[in-house]
Amino acid sequence: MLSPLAARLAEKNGYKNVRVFHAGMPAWKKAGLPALTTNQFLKKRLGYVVVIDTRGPKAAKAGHIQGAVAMPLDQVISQREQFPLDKKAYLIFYSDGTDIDKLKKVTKQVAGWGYKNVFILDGGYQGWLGAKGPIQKDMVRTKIFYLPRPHPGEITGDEFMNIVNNKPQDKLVLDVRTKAETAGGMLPGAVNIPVDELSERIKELPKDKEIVTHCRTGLRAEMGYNILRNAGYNARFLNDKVAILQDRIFCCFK
Amino acid sequence: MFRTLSPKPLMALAAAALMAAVLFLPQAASAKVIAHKKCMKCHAEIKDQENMVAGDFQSRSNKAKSISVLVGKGKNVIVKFTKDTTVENVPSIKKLKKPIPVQVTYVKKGNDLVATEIVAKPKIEVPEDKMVGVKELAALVAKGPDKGNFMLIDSRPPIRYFEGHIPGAVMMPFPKMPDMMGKLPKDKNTPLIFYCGGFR
Repeated sequence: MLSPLAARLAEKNGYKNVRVFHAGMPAWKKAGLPALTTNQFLKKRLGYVVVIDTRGPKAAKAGHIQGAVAMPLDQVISQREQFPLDKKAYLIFYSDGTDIDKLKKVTKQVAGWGYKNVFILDGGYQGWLGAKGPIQKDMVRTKIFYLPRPHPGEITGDEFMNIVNNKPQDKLVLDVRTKAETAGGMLPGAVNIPVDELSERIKELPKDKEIVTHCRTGLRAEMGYNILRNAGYNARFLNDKVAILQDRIFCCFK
Repeated sequence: MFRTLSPKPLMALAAAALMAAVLFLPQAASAKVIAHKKCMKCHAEIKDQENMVAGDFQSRSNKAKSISVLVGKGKNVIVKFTKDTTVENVPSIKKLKKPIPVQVTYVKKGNDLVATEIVAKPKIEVPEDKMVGVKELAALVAKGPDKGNFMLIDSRPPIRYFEGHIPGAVMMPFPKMPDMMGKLPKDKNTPLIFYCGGFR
């Protein structure tokens, strides 16, 4: 929404041939056109993005970006089933240098599978070395491993189930689903306040415990977390699916 | 629809009047606008608004009849909606998509914020001949700025540029642009193409 304003400013400064690519970055990526990411971004997100070293295992063995998967360029397409289920996952491809022409056919195909964040690393491995990004030798990953970056306040499934099972004194599990939903069963030890009643009934909750919210999918749990946090409570939320069927708990699919 | 032309609107009016009266009580008058910093950059006038939440729409729960609005780094405000909540610039609440900026006017009911009106950021009109399509731009970018004789400018915040940009684009965040004019080509006839996160 900034480009029309920027274009106007350029015209005011005397530029005579000013246009706007109005559809912007989202349309560029959706069309599968090559998009460049930077060392700066990758350094910050390392561990929560899929990094694919397309130079192949031999080059990767001599040195690769920390956590990268070695996958020769001509094999990427055949490895489709390895790619994460989450279509918003960041998939960052690199080669020796910027190498757009070499990589763009493959990134276009991968974007065509529905992935919304497919990037080529600007500068490639050489640029990464220049920016002193963390590297590894040996220990080459050959299978894609993807861990989504947690939202602020998110609790892991493991820790959540540990709290449900062991009920530590300083934690409280808050089920924010509706009455109709909780009638089908609740997690043992959990307290129910539907998220739409939470602001009204917030005083029912203890301030000396950490409150961990959950719902059916994670969306309302996050809303509940925000309400609690804004009211000064110590809280986290489970951003994951929970189902309770005849006292059997199905939880934490991530 | 026409059935509601009975005493109901009157009651609604009375209720609204009552609500308005409540709003002007001293303790309620202190309800300041909760707005994202970036909203204030262009909409400084909303700082005098009462009972408004301004920020980026994040999510909607139909079960909880609530929306979540991002009003600062990691800070979300939850506002309820009802069947009487009006929406502007999108056909319905369902059509709000993350992260469209919204201004939400609310009334306070107990601790709850209940939206009376949600105004989404309106479409920006750009004349047809000032727009570049994705195909034309792709062809230009493949040539490169030198051969294609153009400059491609990314107006988004630096964090967006670092995440991912079009090859050959120059980073020039719109708020910083007045100080960066020297980066634009000397020849004022050079074609300039600006882009950002897109707009409707």
